[in-house]
Order: sequence, then C-alpha cells, then structure tokens
Amino acid sequence: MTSQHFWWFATAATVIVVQACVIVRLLAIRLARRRARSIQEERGLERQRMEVSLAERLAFEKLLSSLWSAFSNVLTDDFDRQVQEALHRIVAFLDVDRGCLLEFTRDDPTVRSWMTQAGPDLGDFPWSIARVRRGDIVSFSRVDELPDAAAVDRATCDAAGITSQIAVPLAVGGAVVGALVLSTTKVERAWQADEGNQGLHLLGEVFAYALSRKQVEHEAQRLRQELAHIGRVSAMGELTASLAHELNQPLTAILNNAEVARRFLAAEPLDLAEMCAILDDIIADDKRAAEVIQRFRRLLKKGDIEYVSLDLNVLVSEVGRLLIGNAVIRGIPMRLDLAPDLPRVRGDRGQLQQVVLNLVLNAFDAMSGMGAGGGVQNLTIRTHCDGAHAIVEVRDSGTGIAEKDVDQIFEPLYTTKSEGLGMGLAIARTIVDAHGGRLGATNNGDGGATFHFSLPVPHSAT
Amino acid sequence: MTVAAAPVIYVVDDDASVRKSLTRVIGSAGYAVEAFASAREFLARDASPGPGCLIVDVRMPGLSGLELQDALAAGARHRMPIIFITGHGDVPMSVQAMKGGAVDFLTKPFDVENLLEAVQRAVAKDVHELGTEQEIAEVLARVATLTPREMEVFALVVTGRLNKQIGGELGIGEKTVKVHRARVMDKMRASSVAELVRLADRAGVIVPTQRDRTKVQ
Repeated sequence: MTSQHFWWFATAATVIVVQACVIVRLLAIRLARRRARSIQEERGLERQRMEVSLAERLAFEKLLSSLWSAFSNVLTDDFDRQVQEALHRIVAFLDVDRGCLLEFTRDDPTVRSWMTQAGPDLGDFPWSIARVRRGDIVSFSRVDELPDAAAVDRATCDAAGITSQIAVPLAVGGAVVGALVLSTTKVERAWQADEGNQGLHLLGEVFAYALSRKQVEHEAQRLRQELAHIGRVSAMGELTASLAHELNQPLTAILNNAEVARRFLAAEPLDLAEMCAILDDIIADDKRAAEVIQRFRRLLKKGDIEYVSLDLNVLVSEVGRLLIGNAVIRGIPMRLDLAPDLPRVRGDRGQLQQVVLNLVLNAFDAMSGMGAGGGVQNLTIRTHCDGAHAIVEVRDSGTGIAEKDVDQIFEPLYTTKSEGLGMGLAIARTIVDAHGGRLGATNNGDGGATFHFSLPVPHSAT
Repeated sequence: MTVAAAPVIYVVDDDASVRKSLTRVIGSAGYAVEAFASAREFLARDASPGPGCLIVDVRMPGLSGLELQDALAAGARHRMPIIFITGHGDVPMSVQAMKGGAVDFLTKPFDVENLLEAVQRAVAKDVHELGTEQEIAEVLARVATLTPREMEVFALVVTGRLNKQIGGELGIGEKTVKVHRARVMDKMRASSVAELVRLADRAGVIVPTQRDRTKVQ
C-alpha cells in the first residue's frame, strides 16, 4: 500500500470514527432527554397523585373536624339525629352503601344501634359482634371469607345483600363502648391494610367519644334524679304535716255529716232530701281527700327525667297548693305574685317542683324562730321574665343570710339548723345548673332574704 | 235572772265543707247557727245580745283563732265562751287557748258527741255569765241613785258598824244615820244587812279598812 492510500484510509477512518462518536453522542443525548422527560412525567404524575391524595386527606380532615365539633356540642335530645347525619356523611365519603353505629353497654348484652337505612337485626351477626366486642376489627371483602363459625353471619349477609363489610371497635379507656360498621351491597370492596384503616379508626374515635359522653351524661342525669328523689323524701317530714292538715278538713266534714245522717235516720219522719244532700257532701269530701293524696303522691313518685315545655306559673301554683297546709300551721301567710305573660321553659317537672319546694321550705325555716315579736312574717313567691330568662323568686321575712354563710349555703351537707341534712339547697342548685339556669340568694333591704333562680327561655318559644 | 233570747252558735272556719257540716251538726241539736269564713267576717257581724258560744278553728289564713280570742278578750262587749277546733294539734297551742279561757280544745276529726257536749257547757256558762252581768248592771244602776252621803253610809253599814259608830265617823247624828240607812236599804232594795253586803260585793263597792275603825275609837 502506498503512503497516499494510507493517508486516505486514515482520514476516512477518522471521519467515520468522528461521525460515529457524534452519532453515539447524539443518541446518548436523545436517550438522556427521553429519560429526563419520562422522569418528569413520572414526577408530574406523582405530584398529581400527591395532590389528589392531599385533597382527599384535606377532605377527610374537614369531615373529621366537623364531626368532632358536631358531637362536642350535642345535646342529649339531639344525639340520635347527629349520629344519623354523621353516618350518612361517612358513608358518602367512603363510598360505601351502609353505615351503622353500635353501642355496647357494660354488663348488658343488649346492643343499641343507629343505621343509615333499615337493615338486618344485629342479633344476626353473632360471630362478628362477639369478636368486635373483644376489640378485634372484623372485616371481609367477600362473604366467602367468613369462616364456618360465622355461618349465621354469612346467611344474614346473603339475605341482606351485603357483599363486604368492616366493623371497627370503638374503645375509650380500654373498654369497647361500641363499633362502627360499614357495608357495601353493590360491589365487593377490598378493605385497605392498616394505613387505610387508620382513617376509619380516626372516624371511629369521634363516635367513641360521643358514645362515652352520652353514657356519662346519662349516668349524671340518673344520679341527679336519685338526688332529687332523696331530697323529696327528706322533705317528706314537712310535707306530711301539710298532708295531715289538708286531709283533716274533709275527714272532719265527713264525720260530722255521717253522724248527723245517723241521727236523722232515727228521726221520724225521715227527710230523704236532706239525707241525699248529706251523702252528696260526704262523697264530694271523699273525692277531695283523694285528690289531696294524689297531689302528694305525684310529688313523691320517683319517675324518669322528662324534659317538656313547662309553664312555671302552673308549677309554682302546684307547689303552693302542696305547702299551704304547712304555711297555715306555721301561721305564715303565703302569697303568689305570678307574671301573666311568663314565657314557657324546658325542664323536668318533678325536678323543678323540687327546687321550688326546697326554697319554700328553706324560707319557712328561716322564719320559724321569729314568732310574734319579730315583726310581720310573710312569704312571697314571684315569677317574672327579663327577656331571655324566666325567673322565680322566693322572698321571706326571716333572719336573712349571714355574710360568712353567703357562699357556703349551697354546699352539700351545710346547715345552720339543728335538724335536716343540709342537702336541700345543694340539690336545688344541681338541678338548676343541669337545666342551664342559675340559682342564687340575696339579702333583702328590709330584712329576710330572697332566693332566686332563672331558666333560659328557648328561642323558638312564643 | 233569766235571759230572754235563744242561744246562737257561731262557727268560724275557712274550710267550706267543715263549715257546712258543722252547721248541720249543731243545727240538728236544736241550736241556731251562724257560719263565717274568717275571723274578720265574724267580728264585722251584727252582734245579737243573747247568749251563745263560738266554735273557731285555731289556724286560719288571716286572723287566727287565738288572735280572735285575744281580740274578743280586749273588747268591751260580751265575752262569748270559745271552743277551739284544729286540724293540727299541739300542746303549747292548746295550753294558750285554755289559759285564754277557752271552754274546750278539740282536734279534727273530733267526735261529734264531744263537740255537742262542749257546746252545751259553753251555752250554759254564757247564760250564767249574762245573767250575772245583767245582775251586776242592775246593782250598779241602783248604786248610782245614791247620794254621796248615802254612799258613805252604805259603805260603813256593810262593814257591820253600829249607827252610833257611823255617826261618829261621819260627824253626823245617830238619827240622821238611821234616816240615811233606811233610804239606802230602800234604794238598794235590800231587806237585810246581809243582803246589802252581798249587793255591795256584787257591785264592787269599796269597804273602808280596819285603820279607819281604830281611828274612830
């Protein structure tokens, strides 16, 4: 080969190599770009995914926080409605078909439930409920997943058209107070592993709180009712005297009439018209006596708490009638000064009667030591309205409240008397507080004291 | 001394049934009855002059039975006997009632026999007292007709002094004393010194003391 060919060959080879390098470089760049683009795309997708998941998360947080605030403000009356609403929202959010809240009570096998729509009886899920009560999550994505031991449950699902279900136990302080059960009836739903369930747990917590709070309030109400009953029973001594006095009148009249009738029977001629008149009077007085007993019995009856719309004027008049005998025995004139247009309030009749009763008995005691030398004795019960509240005042002309006692008188077991438990005012305050009202006392300028309590007037009341 | 008017029983009780049945009971025993719903209504009534008694409930709204008892005692007029009835008996109350001069104190529901017996006692007591009152009024009327000198003689005669002694005390002659004495006996319608003494006692004529006697001697 000549050197000339060599140089041509070398040049050609160089050019080829250079070209190849350029091509390779170009290819590499292209590859790199492509990779970068796909990474970008991927990142973009990921961001999208993250944004979606963030939006979901936000929506979830919103749902959660609004459920919390709904239940922290709930009144006992409203509880059922709030639960229904919450269940519906959760069902919608999680895209299931049915939601159900179960409440377990300690020592009691019965189960309360709230459901978004009518469904099978809970007794038909014995296996699931037994496990949930122990604190286990019970879920299945297909009915077939249920073990043989859960045959009854399986049958129920088939009958109700449930395709998948998850039951999350709700625990407060280590005790299972209920369960949140979500079911689908259209598709089979795969329940997520733990982190998905975490959302359910958070939702469950709201219900757990709501249920336990409801139970606590229930218990508190029950105790208050017991306390009021004790208060009524301890007031019985005073009431008995009143009762005896009230009964004596018709009994006396009946005896007088009967004796006269007896004499008339021995007389000639028999005055039938007069006999009939006498018997009519006897019957009327008997009924009167029965009424008196009824009135007292109603007061002493231990009933369940029932919040109803009340007219405080009527309530005060009833208590006044119960105690008039007592007032007469003590020689204390009792006056009622009732506002004619007093708005109605919501409360438990028995408990509020108890409050007025305690205040009046307290006033009687304040005036008992005084006698003739202490000036004019009188007791006035007054009702009036200040726009937002209905107010009841019991004003006495007794000894008044000593400065040092002013804060203490409402404490339980505090008494300045030689007899009595000292529970009357404490019970009264507990009841008024539970009704959303306030009970207080002030000394009168002209001697004696006034005990007053106010109850809120519901906005919708006319 | 007999009193002409028939006895009237007054019933005061705030309970309508009790009032009505009591009226029946007492009416059936032959008395005239008037019923009132409160002590005030009773006090406002037109009082009849004849004998009677009051049946009143101790505890009533407004003026109580015991307060009524006090009001009647303070009044100048005829103090009728009171029978208390009560639906709520207690010892201090009954003691106060009896001390205030009540005829009886019955707790509701009382035995009608007991009530009627108490009414009988009360009416009898009132008749007697009215008779006595009338008597006293008459004696006092007679005393009022005596002249001052006759009064002096009267007062000394009833101490058992002799005419001579009386003359000595008053500074008049025995004969003058005899004249005054006769006039006193006549005006007082007494037939003996003993009767004069009784009338003086009734009328509450003040008798001179021992001291004056020794002074004369």
